[in-house]
Order: sequence, then C-alpha cells, then structure tokens
Amino acid sequence: MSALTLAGMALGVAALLALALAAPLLPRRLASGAGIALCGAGAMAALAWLAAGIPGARLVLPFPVAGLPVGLVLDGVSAFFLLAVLPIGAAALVSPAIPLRWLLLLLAAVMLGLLAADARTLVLGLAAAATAAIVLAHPPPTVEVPAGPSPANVLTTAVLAPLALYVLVRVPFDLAEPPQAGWWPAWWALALLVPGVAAAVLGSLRAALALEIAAILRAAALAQAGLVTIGLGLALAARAVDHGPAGSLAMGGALFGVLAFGWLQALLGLAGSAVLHGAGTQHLDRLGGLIHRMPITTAAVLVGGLMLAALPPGAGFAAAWMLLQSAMLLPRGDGLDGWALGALAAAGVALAMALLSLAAVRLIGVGFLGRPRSPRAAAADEVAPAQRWAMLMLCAALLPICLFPGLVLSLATPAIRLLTGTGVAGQAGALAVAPGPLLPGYGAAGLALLLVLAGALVALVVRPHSPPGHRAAPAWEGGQGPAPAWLPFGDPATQVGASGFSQPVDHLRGALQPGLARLRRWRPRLERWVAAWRRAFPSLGWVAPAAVLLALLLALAAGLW
Amino acid sequence: MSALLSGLAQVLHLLLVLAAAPVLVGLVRWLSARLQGSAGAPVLQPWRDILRTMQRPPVVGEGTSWLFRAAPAARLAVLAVAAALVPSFTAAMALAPAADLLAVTGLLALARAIAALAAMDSGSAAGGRIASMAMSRGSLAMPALILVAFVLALASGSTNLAILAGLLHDDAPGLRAAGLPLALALLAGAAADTAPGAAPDVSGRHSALGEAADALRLLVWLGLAAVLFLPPGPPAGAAMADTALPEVLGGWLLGLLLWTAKMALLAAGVALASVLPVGPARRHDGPWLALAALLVLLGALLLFAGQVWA
Repeated sequence: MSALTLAGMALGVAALLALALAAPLLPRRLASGAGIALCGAGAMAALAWLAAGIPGARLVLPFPVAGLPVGLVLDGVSAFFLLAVLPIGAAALVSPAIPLRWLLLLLAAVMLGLLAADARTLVLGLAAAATAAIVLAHPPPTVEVPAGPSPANVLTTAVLAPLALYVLVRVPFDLAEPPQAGWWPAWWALALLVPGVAAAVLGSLRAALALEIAAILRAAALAQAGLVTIGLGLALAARAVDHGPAGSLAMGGALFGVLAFGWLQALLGLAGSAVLHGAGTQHLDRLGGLIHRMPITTAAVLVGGLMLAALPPGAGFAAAWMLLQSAMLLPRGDGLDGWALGALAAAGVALAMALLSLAAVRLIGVGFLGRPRSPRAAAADEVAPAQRWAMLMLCAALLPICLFPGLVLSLATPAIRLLTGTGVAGQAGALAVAPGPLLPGYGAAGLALLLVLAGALVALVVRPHSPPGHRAAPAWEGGQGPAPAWLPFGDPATQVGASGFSQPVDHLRGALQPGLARLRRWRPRLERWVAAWRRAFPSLGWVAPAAVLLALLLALAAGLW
Repeated sequence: MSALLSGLAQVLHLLLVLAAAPVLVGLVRWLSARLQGSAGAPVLQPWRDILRTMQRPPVVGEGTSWLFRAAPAARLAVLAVAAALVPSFTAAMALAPAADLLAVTGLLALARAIAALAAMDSGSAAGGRIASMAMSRGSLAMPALILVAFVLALASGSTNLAILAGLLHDDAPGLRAAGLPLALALLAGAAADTAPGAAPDVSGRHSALGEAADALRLLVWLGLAAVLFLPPGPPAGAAMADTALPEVLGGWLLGLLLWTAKMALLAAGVALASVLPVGPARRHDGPWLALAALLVLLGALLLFAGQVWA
C-alpha cells in the first residue's frame, strides 16, 4: 500500500515535470487546472496515508538519472510535509501572476526533495527548486508586473519554505541520529534557538513596520519560520536533557506550524494578489475601506489575520501554545541548561506573538477598514471567481486545523516518533492538546463553542433591552468641518496611516539599533559583489548564478555519493 | 453530584462576575474620587450608565462596515468567556479544564484586537490613534502575562488556572519569594492593557456594551492577580465528590467572602495608583515592558534559587 502511494507520488512528480514542459503549448487554464488536480490528489493521498498509519516504503527508480540511481522514500516526515506543501502549490497555481512553467517545475522539485531517500536526490531536488525559485523571484520586468516584492513572490516563497524547513528537520534529527539521549550538551540547541528567536522577533518587528502587503507577509513568513526553528531547537534541547514530552510537544508545534503557517501564507498571498489586482496597489497608505468593495477578500484576510496574530481559537495560537508549553516543560529535564533555554524560547515566542498581533491588526485596519485613502482604492473591484473560490476553500481547510490541533498532531505522530524517538502519549486528543496525559490543556473547539455561546447569550440579553437598528451620521472629526467636495471620501490625512499606526513600536527598534547597524555594515559589501558580478556578466542576469549554484550543488551531490 | 455542583458553581461564577464587574469599576472610581477629596459618584453608577445607554439606538459613523457594528457585542462575548475561566469563589468549576492562563491571555488579546479593528473602521483620527495606542500597549501586556505564566508553570508543570490557584500557598518554597515580583509584573501588564482610552464614535447600545466589556477586562486582570498571588487561594476541594453538600456550600461562601475582600483590596490599590504619581509616565510604554521583564526575570531567579537550595 505504501509502495503504491510512493509510486503514485513519483508519477505525480513526473506528471508535474511533463506539465511544466508542455505548459507553453497548453491553454493556461487547462495547464493550471491539471496542476491543481495533481496537487489535490497528492495531498489527499498523503492525508490518507498518514491517517492509515501504515509503515513507510522505499523505492529506487528503475532508470538512473544522469547515470546515478535515484532513491525515494515515503515516511511520516515526508508525507506530512507533502500534505503541508501541496495545497499551497494548488493555491499558487490559481494566481494568474506567476509564470506557470517555472511554478510547476518548482512544485515538482519540491516534491522530489521531500521524497528523497538519499542526500544526492535531496540535493538534486534542492538545486532544481532553488533555480526555479530564483527565476520566479526575478521575472523579467513587464508593464503589468511591477518590480519589487509582490504577493506572487509570497506564494512561491510559501511553496519553497517547507522544503527548507524539511532540510532543517531532517539533517539534525534524522541523519545525525545520536546513539542515546544526552549524547550532546543541551546548549548545542542554541545553534537553532538563537537564529530562531532572532528571526521570530526581527521578522515580526519588520512585519509591524513594513508598508506594503507583500513586505508584511514576507516578514511574517520570516517570523513564522523563526517560530518553527524555535520549536526544532526546543526539541533538540529536550532530547539532550532527556525530557520526552517536552521534545514531542516542541516537534509537534514545529510541524503544526509548518502546515498551518504555510496554508496561512497561501491564503494571505492570494488575498494580497487580489488586492494588487483589484485596487491597483499594495501600499497600505493607498488602500483602505476595501471591506465595502472586496467583501470576500476582506473576510479571507480577517480569517488569515486572526491566525497570523496568534489569537485563539486560531491555528497560530495553537502552535505558539505548544511551543510555550514545551519551553515550560524543558526545565523539568536533567541538568540546569533547560532553565535558560526554555526562558529564551518563551521570551522569543511571547514577543513575536505580541508583535505579530499588532502587525495583523495594522494590516487589516489600515488596508481594509476605515475610509479609502486613494481614488483607486475607492473604486476597487473584487477579484475573479476562481481566486475567490480558492480563498474560500483555503479558509475552509484552515477551519479544522484551527479547531482540532490535536488531530493534526496525531497526523504528525509518525513524524514526531521518527524524529524525536518519543510519541505524543496523551498529548494529542481529538478535542485538546495537553502537556501530558491526564493534564488539562488547550481545547480550541471547546473555546470556539464557548465564544459562540457567549455571543448568543449577549445577543439574547441585549435584544429585549435595546431598540433594534442604528442610525448613520457623519463621523465626528474632532470639530473639523465636513470635507470639501473634491475629497469625496474625506480628508485622507485625518486617518491614521501605516507608519503612524506602528510609530510606538518603532521606538522598540531604537533599542535594537546598535546590533542591527553592525550587521548592516555587511550590506554594501554584498551589494558591491553582486554589482561586480552583474558588470562581468551583464547579459546572463540571474540565470548565471542559478546555474553556478546548480553546478555547485551537483558537485556536492557527487561528493556525497 | 460533583458534575452537577461544578456546573452550578460555573453558572453562579458567571453571574457573579457579570454583576460584579461594573460595581468594581464604580468602586475604583469612588475610591479615587475620595482619595482626591471629592464626593465621588455612587458605586452603582456604572451599572446605571450601562442600563440607561443600552436603551438608546446607536449612531454609527457613515462609511463604517458590519465589523464596527458587530464588534462591541463580540468583544463583550470574548471577555465574558475570559471572565468565566478565571476562578473566583471556587476553583472546581465545570470549565476548569479549559481555564488555561495562556488561553485567557489570548482572549484578552483577541478582545483588544477586536476593539482596535472597530476603532480603525470608524475612519476618524481619534479612532486610529486610540487603536494604535491600545495595540502597542497591549503588545507589551501580553508578553508580561505570558512570561508570568512561564515562571508559574516552571513550578507547577501546567498553566491551568485551577492548578495554579492553590499553588502559591501550598508548596513551592521558592515560588513564595518569587510571588511579589511576578505579581508586580502582572500589575504592570494590567496597567498597560487597561490604560484609559475611551472608544471614539460609539454611542447608545454600543457604548453600553463597550463599558461592560471594559469593566470585565479590569475584573479579569484583577481576578488573575487575586487568584494567583493574593493568599489564601480559593478553598480547594469545595466541590469534591466525597464532601457533603453543606460543607461545599460553606466553602463557596468562605471563598466568596475571600474573593470580595481581595478584589476590594486590589480596587483600592488601583485607585491609589491612579492618584499617586507612581511608575513611569503613561505616555511612554517602553519602560513598562522593561519593568515587567525585569520583574519576571527576578521572579524566575528567585524561583530557581529556591528550587536549587531547597
């Protein structure tokens, strides 16, 4: 059964490759539809395989590629990451702004990397994915696709990110399998925790300060990758101090984060594309009031923002909850290292949660609520039905993730057992996740039910005591008169803007300034190298570095082999 | 029997906090007025205000959306759930398994986000300014509370409020020493989150719902301080299966008296803090975070020292 699923997955990679080659010949709708069908079938197969809980399988392709045999494996980790990445791929295929051929190639490469059984195949997948991603990140500038980060970039990054995190999971936990717990000192986990905390805090800070939707989403993706890395670091530390429950909860939180954050980025990336298309800009200071003109997109952003902000009963809160619980359990292991490591992780997660919630409120409040800030935003149009449906379906897919994090955790159980050596005994219930058996935990579904009941109670109590309906009147502008006729939606300057909203947080950046300045000193040097490269090979653009990278990785693969 | 009693306790608790929250606000206002030498409005004045404004239909700004109109009720519902989870007279309530300190933190943040979104939807200058202040202050309150939860969970292994409720007073020698700085960190977070900032452009029913929600928010923060840090904790085992009914009811009554006394004490503290020029100036938020972080660190160190030398 497993072998059959794996063979199906291999055929899926081949089909995606063939589709990528044939894409220029086919109508776009047909090619992207076929790609979406392939992604959906793959995700369903991964889900069914994980739910069945059967042992994994290995496969060596009957034909060698470039003279070398290619080995594939389907186990708990690769199946879970496939489940995470394939829906993002389907969402990216819906977006019309992405070159289809390279996106299909990227998907095939990511799938190959996730299915790789040996380092050579993994490097092959990584190299192909990196090439496709570089090409996708730097499309030839055209009239309709402006330069700079766009929501389409967010989608391709969301497809690529799980592969990078997969490598981060595989290498320390699977390949470097230690003979026993306590084989390494716990502070080695700092190698993951420090970059994780830095990425989480700086990413969320930048998300709270950035001015364009794509920049906000990219910064949030960095913060979320940081949270996942914190989880991996905690799992590593838990293994060193020999505390099984802390390790499985940390790894569970990290894997849950890969899935939930990936889907969330796909949703918000689609919504960002819709805004760029419908309102003509993604700069927050030129948006506003989109809730009236783009109701479906705004609803999608509200759902995504609730999750991005790590607010209950969203999935972001569930991931952060698992990481925090694991950090709190860590000091109960052997030795004293767990104290410092747990405190570092908890502080990083707490600060990132707070800043991300500010960033989400700012994104929704400035971009979608209030009054329009430009005529173009005042005349925004809702996006095409295909993308509307894609956003609604992603929201529907995120709902069970939010309400039943325990079920996702039990889908990740084979991966957790493979990576940390411990199961999730008593931690993953159908209705709740808990730090251990017989301990109370966090039940998202119950909390959501309570919220709905409380809302109904408030409505029931208020209804008989208050006259229904409301009356609309011009908003009070602190004594200013009505706006002149040539400002049909009021004076934009009287509404808080994107940078004004986060001005109090900007002071926080002042505290970090000296350290950041030291890092920034490297930037001109890097830019000088890139400029020198471009001068040397003016016509090759980004293809040349990609080719060099590919060659280097292939050489590395040959060396490993 | 025990399930029935815990359900009854939950319902009574919910009714108690819903009724007590505006009274608490009235008490704080009356006390601070007395401390400044004026007569002060009666303690029940907030209740009267809420009931009176509830009977008027709201006037909403032109150009606001459904979110603005739904937000006051939604925020009140979220804070009612949070208040239902923080124990008052007994910790053995039906919702005790869901009463997670981190979840309560999240619910407070959710209520804050709803209020900020509604304020921004009004499209006025004051709305944006208040939303910005509330979110940046709140993002300082949230890490403070999470880190307090972290240090408490170091000692107990759980962030559940029913488990944490009796913790500080039973065993954990280090935690007793750590209690004071942690309590101060919690209060710093409370001060940052409940800083006055009237929602603009709301009237009638919306204003009444907002007043009630503000009162519940103050009650949740003070209730957390009372149940976590002020000894003695709520009488444990008041609804155990093997306890006779009169004893259970006696325990509830004792718990109610204790809770009332503790909340009155905390209300007096809030009133005093609002009158005296203590703490960093309200305009600057950074010092609050630094203060809370330092206090939590001190608490963690004391706890650590207590555990190592115990």
